[in-house]
Amino acid sequence: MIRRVVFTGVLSLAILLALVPYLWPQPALRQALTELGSTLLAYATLVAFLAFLDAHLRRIRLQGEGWPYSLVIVLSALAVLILAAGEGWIRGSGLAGPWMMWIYQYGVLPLEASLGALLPFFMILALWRRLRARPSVEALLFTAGVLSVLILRSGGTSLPLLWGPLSHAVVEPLITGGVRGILLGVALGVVVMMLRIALGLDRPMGR
Amino acid sequence: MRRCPVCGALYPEEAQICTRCGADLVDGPGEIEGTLCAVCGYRNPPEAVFCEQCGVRLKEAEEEGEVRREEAAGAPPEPGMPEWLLAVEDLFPEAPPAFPETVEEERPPFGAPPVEEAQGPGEAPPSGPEAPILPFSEEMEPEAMPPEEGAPPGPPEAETGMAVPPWMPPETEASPFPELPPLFEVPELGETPPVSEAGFSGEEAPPPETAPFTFFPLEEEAERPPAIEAPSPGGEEVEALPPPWPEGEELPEWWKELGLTEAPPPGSSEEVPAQAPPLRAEELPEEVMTAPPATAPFQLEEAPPPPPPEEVPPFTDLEAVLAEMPEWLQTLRPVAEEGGEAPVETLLPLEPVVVEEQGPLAGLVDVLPRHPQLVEVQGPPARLRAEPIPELRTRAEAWGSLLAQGLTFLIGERVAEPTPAGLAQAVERGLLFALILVALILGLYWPLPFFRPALLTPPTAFVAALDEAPSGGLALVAVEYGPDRAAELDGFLRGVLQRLSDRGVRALTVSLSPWGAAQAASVVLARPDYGERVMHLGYVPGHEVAIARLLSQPLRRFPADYTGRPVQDLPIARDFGEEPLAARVSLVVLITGSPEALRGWLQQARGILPPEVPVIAAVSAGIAPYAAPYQESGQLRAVAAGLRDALLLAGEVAEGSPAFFDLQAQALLQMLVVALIGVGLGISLFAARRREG
Amino acid sequence: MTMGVLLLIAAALTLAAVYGGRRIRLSPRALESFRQIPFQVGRSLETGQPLQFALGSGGLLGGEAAFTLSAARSLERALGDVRTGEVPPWVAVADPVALLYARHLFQEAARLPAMSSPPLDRIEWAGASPMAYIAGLTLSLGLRPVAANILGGSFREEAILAGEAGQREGAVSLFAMPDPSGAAAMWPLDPSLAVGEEALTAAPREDAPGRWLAHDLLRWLLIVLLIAAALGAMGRG
Repeated sequence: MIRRVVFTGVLSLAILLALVPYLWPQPALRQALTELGSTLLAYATLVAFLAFLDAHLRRIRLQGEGWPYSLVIVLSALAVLILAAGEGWIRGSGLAGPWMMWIYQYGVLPLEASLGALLPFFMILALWRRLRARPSVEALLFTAGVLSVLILRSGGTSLPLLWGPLSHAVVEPLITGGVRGILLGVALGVVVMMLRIALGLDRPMGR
Repeated sequence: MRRCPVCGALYPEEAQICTRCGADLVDGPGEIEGTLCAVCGYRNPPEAVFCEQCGVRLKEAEEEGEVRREEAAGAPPEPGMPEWLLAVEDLFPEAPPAFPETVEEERPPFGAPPVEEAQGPGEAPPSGPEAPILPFSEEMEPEAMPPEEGAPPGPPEAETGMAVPPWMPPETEASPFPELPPLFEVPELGETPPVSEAGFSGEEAPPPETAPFTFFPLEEEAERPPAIEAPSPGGEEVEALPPPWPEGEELPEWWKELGLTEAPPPGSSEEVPAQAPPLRAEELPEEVMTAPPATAPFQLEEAPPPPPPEEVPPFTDLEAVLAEMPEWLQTLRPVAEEGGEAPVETLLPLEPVVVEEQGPLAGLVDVLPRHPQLVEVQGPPARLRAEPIPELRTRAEAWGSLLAQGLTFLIGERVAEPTPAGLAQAVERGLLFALILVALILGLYWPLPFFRPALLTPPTAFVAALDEAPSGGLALVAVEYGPDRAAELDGFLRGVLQRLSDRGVRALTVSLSPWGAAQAASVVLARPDYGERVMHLGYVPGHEVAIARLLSQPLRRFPADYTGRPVQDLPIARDFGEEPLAARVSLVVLITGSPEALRGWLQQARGILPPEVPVIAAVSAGIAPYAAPYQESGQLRAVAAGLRDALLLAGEVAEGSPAFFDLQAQALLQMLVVALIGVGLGISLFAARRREG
Repeated sequence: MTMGVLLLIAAALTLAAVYGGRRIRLSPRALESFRQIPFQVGRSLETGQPLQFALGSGGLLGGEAAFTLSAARSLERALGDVRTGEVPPWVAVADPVALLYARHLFQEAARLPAMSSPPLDRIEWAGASPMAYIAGLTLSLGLRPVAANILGGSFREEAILAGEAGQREGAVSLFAMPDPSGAAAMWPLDPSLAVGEEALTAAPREDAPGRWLAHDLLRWLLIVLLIAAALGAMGRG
């Protein structure tokens, strides 16, 4: 009971402290909180890395489902860690050395770019299946919006000439307005959630 | 411990009154009047014909010593007993227990666990005062009665035994229990292994409640004949069998009911057998009727092992037995052997496998044959007495429609259900992917006639802001994207750096994330003018707070660049002094694909930078709506979005250049998506119309 | 300063909503995505397959803390169901602090009789960057069958890879994404997904009164401010 009260109190205090600069500008306070958060993040990263290694090593040991993937993951993670630590030991900057740059340029970059290259395929596939399904008002509205954007943005062809500046005045404000509405709602939800946590109405640390 | 002289219950020495019958244990009951019920032990008044407690006929119970194994010791037959059970009991009436004179020991008190039955010959019976009272005489061999000739074989040399209910009082009166014909099982069951019907093993005594079955203690393996073999009606068995009734005695009524004419042989207290046979007396072989009493005691360790049967005479009068047998028991009849010879150590031949060929059970084996009455239509189909009311019909239709929808009505209509897996879906996916790939390759390598890049509008405002930076001035370029956005935004970084370098503007690249720093390093460090016109400060930790710290930090205080070289050693830092960066920077360029980074930089930088310093942003196409409000409010001077603006940054695109083909591929893919949308909608509308039609 | 004043007003309205929620009987509102959570728990028990919760690529220390907390609410609600202990769900996170928080939720749920020991090995750090996180999530979905694939929190367009993988493996998909870009990518898979403000309304099992009322009050405040700003701009212009 006392422990929960203390946790809730600390959480509320942290949120209120972060909100204080909006009333009373205190860059030093904000900086201190940010640095505290960075320290916590570093600690959490270390714990998470150890938990990550433990989970995959257990899967390898027990030969659970997908254990070869776990083996590759563990070996690559340890290799990068050792290389970065070694480069930091030798050159003083673990992330900026040539070894890390080589891993990034020839490992991370191609992998993520390849994965990103899959996105249009699956997006178009999902869109195709959705449009082939039962037609609904949402699908029609979505279609109209997508067609407008694509036709307007598909430069290099004569299609935009058919629409003219009227489309720019009508379609783009609708799109921007819609996104802004969503973003306002997001901001509203974030504010309500954080205020409820700060006021102790919601207890994410448990009852 | 003392016994009650009236009912035989055991009490401690200090007990004075029997709580069961009320007799005085100290002085004795005195003259005991009345008739003792042989079933429940209740002392009835002398004139009672039926026991007042259990209802059994006292005369029969007393004269014949017939003991019926009830479900509970001493309990009267339950009124709710089903008729079929009573009929079964009629088939297997229990023989009265013997009260051998030799048994003088105290019997276990009422409710004590039943004594064990007699074991095999090699096993010692329980000894001591708790010795069971066994019905067989010492002379008798506990053999099964050999069946008559022509009758199916009886059980093998199963030694029959029966535990006397422990509540049975010692029989003080002479109870000429007639010797009943020895036990044998239902002939049709003769081919079963010599296990008692109740399945008891020799070590366990059957509880007295489980009437009315016979208990055949299992013999030792060595002495047990093969299971299928029928016992031989050898003369030894015949000899061993006791005479059914002692001579000179008046025939008991039950004997007469059986139709037996000869008097039962003179019996001793070691009586017989537990069951009365279901056969008529005239069906019994004469040897049985005249067999001398068995001499072997029922203490089976002294009895010689019975010889294995050699042949089993067939049972001829099956119909008579079947006439009295209940139908349910008839279903247990084994298949009759042909030739009348018992199989010898052979397995029953497998019946031919019958496979059902028609109907919903086609393909299954061992399907019960169809009853002709069930197959044939006996008459016209039944008709509803009345039509269902409309409400019921509506409910049924609604239920049917819900079921037709599948599980969606259970888990909610608006849930994304799994896509059906199958060859059609895989082919559809493959074809679509192939179409996209063809369009991409076509656009990247084949100049199409309808594509005119001159129609494209370059980001003039963005370029103009870049060109406004003074030569020799300092521009801060924030690189806030990772490998996933690199393909789209690397063009902006290269183009911005090149345009700034061409105009003599020095550029400092920085990032708030390690990814951005590494991505910028891959572009910046490869430039030939690195150190002179461009310098990469690398990763600054602290998120938004780092922006304020960076802009507020004096230029001279920058320690080193991303590669670790001291900033002061680079030509680009020749005029770095104590003034903060915010005072020296003349342009801030944000290259990002993340709205959070865009928001953070704008919020922090705009609060520190002088209002005349422009901030421009090059963003990915997806976050163009996020940048629009800042552009409209003036916090952002210009915005360039997407791959198209990046490719057009350098000006017009020459035909055949890489930028030309990139733009063409993008346009072709967009047109493909438009076409797919149209085709997909058309298919769905057509399908909907067909569904309605 | 303006921001501070607005925050104070927002705080006051939130408190008023709590007070009013206790007094006024409000009809409960529940979004389809979150309403399905108990159904999916039951479906998980029937099929014997666990649920898969993805808390997004955001953490608890940045601007996406609210998104991650909201996604964790769905997980908390599912864990609060005693039946979950029989088939514990899988949780995929991209942020180390989110991993610690998920472990905390499992330990809280371990007080239930059905889940005696928290299956902490069910929480996996799928990847650090958003794309790597999605790749790890897609791999997990391909390795083990799940009854439902519940994506909440901070997701971008690459979430469609995980959503498509989940659907292909036969899992029911529930999406709740505040970010419009992620929601736009997932719309073809599930048009009824929770987007924007809706994604931040996940309620824990024991919901306190006034949650929805606070949203409504602040929404009216925003509407009033926007109308006032528009009128002011028109007046100036």
